[in-house]
Amino acid sequence: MARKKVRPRLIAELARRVRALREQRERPRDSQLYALDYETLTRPHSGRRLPARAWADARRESRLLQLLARLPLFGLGRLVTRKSWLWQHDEPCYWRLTRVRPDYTAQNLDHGKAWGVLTFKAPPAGKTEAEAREIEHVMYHDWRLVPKHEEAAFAAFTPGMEDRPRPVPYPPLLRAMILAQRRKSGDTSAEEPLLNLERTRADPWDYPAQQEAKGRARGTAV
Amino acid sequence: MAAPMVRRWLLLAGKVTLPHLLQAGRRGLLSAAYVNNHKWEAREKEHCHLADLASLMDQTYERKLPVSSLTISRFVDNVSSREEIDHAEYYLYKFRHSPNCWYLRDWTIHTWIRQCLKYGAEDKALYTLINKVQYGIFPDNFTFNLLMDSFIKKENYKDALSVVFEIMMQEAFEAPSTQLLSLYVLYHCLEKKTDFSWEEERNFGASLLLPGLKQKNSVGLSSQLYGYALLGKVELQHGLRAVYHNMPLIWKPGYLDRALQVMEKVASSPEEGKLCREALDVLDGVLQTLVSPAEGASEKQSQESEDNQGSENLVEQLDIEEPEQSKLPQYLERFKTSQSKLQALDRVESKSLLTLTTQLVKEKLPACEAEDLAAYEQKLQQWHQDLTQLIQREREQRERAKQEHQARKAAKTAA
Repeated sequence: MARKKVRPRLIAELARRVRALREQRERPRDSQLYALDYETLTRPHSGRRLPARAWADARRESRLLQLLARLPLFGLGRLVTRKSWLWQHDEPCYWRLTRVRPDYTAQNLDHGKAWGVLTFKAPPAGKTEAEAREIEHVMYHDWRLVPKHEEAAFAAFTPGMEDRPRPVPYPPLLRAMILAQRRKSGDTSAEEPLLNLERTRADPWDYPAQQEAKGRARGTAV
Repeated sequence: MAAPMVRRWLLLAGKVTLPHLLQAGRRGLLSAAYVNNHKWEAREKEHCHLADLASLMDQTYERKLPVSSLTISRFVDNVSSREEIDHAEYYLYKFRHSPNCWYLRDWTIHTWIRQCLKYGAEDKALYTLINKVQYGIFPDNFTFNLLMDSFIKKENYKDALSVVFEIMMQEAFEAPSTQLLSLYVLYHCLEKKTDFSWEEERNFGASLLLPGLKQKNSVGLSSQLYGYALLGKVELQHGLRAVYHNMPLIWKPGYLDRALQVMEKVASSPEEGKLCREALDVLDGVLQTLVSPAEGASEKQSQESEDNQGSENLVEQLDIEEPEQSKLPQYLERFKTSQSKLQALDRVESKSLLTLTTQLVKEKLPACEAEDLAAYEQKLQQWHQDLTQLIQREREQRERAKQEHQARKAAKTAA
């Protein structure tokens, strides 16, 4: 069926652009989004309450930018840790700051974004990342600043005696199958087939995810 | 060629004025060569009208555009009276709460402190320093030394102490001159007053610890001991969180343990370091107060805020495997053995800490001052280069904007 020619709806297009511009201009800043009422532990912006396990931490600990606002150049090059990492892991896990962008609308400059290089548990269990990336969970009340005179002691870690599991012989049926396959493919090696017992190193559950990959709610309703 | 000769003249000037330093009460610790502002006055600065800069900044803020660090540095450079210092303070506050707050330059901060000292506004400088979160004032060690010396000269040790606490918060005890001056101020204040609130004790402990870690002599070792003793006292009376929250201190428990480790290290090391009797007495006193009225302390704690502090202490105590309270008898024993060992090895210094520090200041300060002055001259040149680069970039940007504007106007008139 032939449709009638669609008129270009210029006013609607203009309205869409104006709405997008206004949304960009009046977007809630970090200081509004992450403000917290410490009496009732609710966020005034969304009206939601913090989860129950975070109540004790919200009263005791500080956000990352709260610590950095008191430092020259917002603490560039300093090491910061999270209290949850300190309680969870023995090895040192920390971010070394490379870039900080505080939210200037905050009264005490205690919100914002930060970028840094992550070291999560010393090798072999963990790694130091090569690139700086945005720090996740900056607004969580969980952060601690490592004092300068303690940095060396904090980052140093001597791995304990790790018993490397020796490779182990296969169960008899599997061993017979492997040997039969070898004979079929003409492989005449006489060595015993051994099973490697080392664990596949997966990242722990609290390894920081890519903050850039998380998006914010975009667009307007109409 | 000129620079080494200038430096030699400065060293001579320093040595000549030195004997007069500590006699009269109106003299600071730093030599006149360090404190005078000839070099700073002699720098090239742009002369701008303050009212123009102020109106420019107001317009930029109204239009919600970022103000450049060059504008605020020009404003602070051209302050010429006490009222204008108040205006400059307002604009510093506004700059800190603008998108460019990270870019506040070192030379602006240095100039701001110098101007405050020049026009007799030390209390204003101290106020902006204490509220560094709101004003963004993070001076370097040279500027800190100047500010502290101006307070020492006026014998205003209370304000000098506040400056030392700010240096401690910023962990800026890098230069030996800063360390020596702060230790002098700290011991002076500790001699005068002995009863402090626990926050003051904690601040004293941290400010004694941080420079003490850097100084490798008996003053340094005794300061470490003194600092650890005070921090251990706060830890056992008010909990570990009271010690490390908002302070540049580590959250691992056992500050008294670290104090005893300092003593044992001195006793067993073959080097010359001695520990002051004063510091040992302080640690002894702390251990006695903590051990004997253990019932009195627990009563006081239950009378104070029960819910909050109780639950917090509970959470903290759950982390620590063995509470520190139970280790106190062991600490007392270790202290007694180490003390007898130190006395047997004759490693106990009987002079007071203040006399020792004054002696150290007299010996070491001129050398440190010479280094600092050389570094300051280099920094002045670096700042001058940065300033010229910034001015160049601003000029280029303005020209580019003008050209674009003209191109756009030509395109509009053509179309």
